[in-house]
Amino acid sequence: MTEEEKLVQRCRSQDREAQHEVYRRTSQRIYRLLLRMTGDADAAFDLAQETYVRAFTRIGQFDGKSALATWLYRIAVNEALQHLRRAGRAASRLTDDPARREAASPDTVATRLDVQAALARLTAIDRAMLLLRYQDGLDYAAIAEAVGCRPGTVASRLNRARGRLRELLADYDPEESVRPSHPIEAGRME
Amino acid sequence: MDRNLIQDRLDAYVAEGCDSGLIEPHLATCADCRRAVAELTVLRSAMAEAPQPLVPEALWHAIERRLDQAPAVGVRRGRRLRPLALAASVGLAISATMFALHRWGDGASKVVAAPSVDFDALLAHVARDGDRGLDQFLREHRARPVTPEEARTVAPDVRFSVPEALPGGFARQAVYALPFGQRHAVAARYQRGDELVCAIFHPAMSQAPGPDGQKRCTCTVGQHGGCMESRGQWNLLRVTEATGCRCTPEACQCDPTTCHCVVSRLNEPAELPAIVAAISRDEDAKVRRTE
Repeated sequence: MTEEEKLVQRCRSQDREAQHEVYRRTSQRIYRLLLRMTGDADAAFDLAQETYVRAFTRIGQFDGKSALATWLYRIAVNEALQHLRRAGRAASRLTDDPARREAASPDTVATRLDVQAALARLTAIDRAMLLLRYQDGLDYAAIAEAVGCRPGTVASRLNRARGRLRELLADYDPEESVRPSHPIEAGRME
Repeated sequence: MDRNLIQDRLDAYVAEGCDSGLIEPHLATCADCRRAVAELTVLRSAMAEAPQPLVPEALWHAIERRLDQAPAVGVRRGRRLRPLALAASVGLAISATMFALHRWGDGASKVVAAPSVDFDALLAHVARDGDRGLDQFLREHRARPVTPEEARTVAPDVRFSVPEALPGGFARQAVYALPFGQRHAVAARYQRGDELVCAIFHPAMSQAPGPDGQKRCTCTVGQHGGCMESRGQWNLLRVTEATGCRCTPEACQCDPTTCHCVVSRLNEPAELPAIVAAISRDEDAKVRRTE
């Protein structure tokens, strides 16, 4: 039995130390994801709380087919999407992104600022896909699990999300708004 | 080669350093792919190197409180007490119980002077918040997750069936025990995608005749009165084998021990009957009725 399996087993017995260990290992990533998805520290706090309470009270449903962290990502993404849907902000611009505020200090890299700002303007699901891939480094299978889509669609969805991000970034750099066509558009790779 | 596949490979090349041996030779000759790789690299570094927010210290304490919490305080989100919602919820629970006592209590009846399952609150919660509303209801009723076997042990006088799957592709997510006066009710949560079905089984609260003097099944007592109630898209259906029973005591085929209820958004004629049949299937009760 792996260490994680033992931890899960202890969590199933409502072992508080084990629960705290899971929290300790994952809370930074989960909270950061929720913060970037919602752009609202209060909402991220509430949603992170909800994520862990749901996870620990439903740990019996975790089947061990994915990593525990991936399962937590899935709960967190669902929580965030529901929150944004309820708030009617799923496709709207996030105006209060703390990450963006932090990134706006004079010595930050302009590119990072642009990417964070553009990211905040994506739809929630596109934002989730990109964050999971490029912020948290999840592989395609884990992303599929986390957002509840088929693994075979992750590449195309990421590609689409990147395309939208690119369009938004072009707003910041008009010279880049028109990009040359690429051989891959024609289906060849030399 | 498929465009997504190429993007996929470039992405893996940047993110994980995966190179099947084709990427780098190709990059040496293709400015567009070099541009794509540069773009992916910038994206990855911009996102991965963004300032790391500090997790609030209060978060774990809030989670612990929620895990320990006596849910009757109605705190859904640790830091945000909602006094009006809490007061309304408590008020509804008290009102529903008083209503049940007033409606059925004549001093001689066997009304159980215990907190009832507050279906008003349940319908209000699910109508507002879907499955999270159900969570809130369960917290407010101090429900705790149990296995089906444990549920039978803690609620021996409640007859129920909680199969792993219900007709229509609903999978059982959890079973709960809810304090119900000195006894327990049982709830089961089922889901099919976003569609929720919650079955609740609670001890019958009265064996008295109704206001019209007719003998009713014991399960037709309480604020939900043995029929269908709706709130928005959500319906609460009382479930027995003879809904709306007016049978005589001698001929009554209803389960006198348990009120079976289903909360869902399902289209009643299309899907509910099969589900009702599945959760009402209680071999113990059938044996008892034939005795």
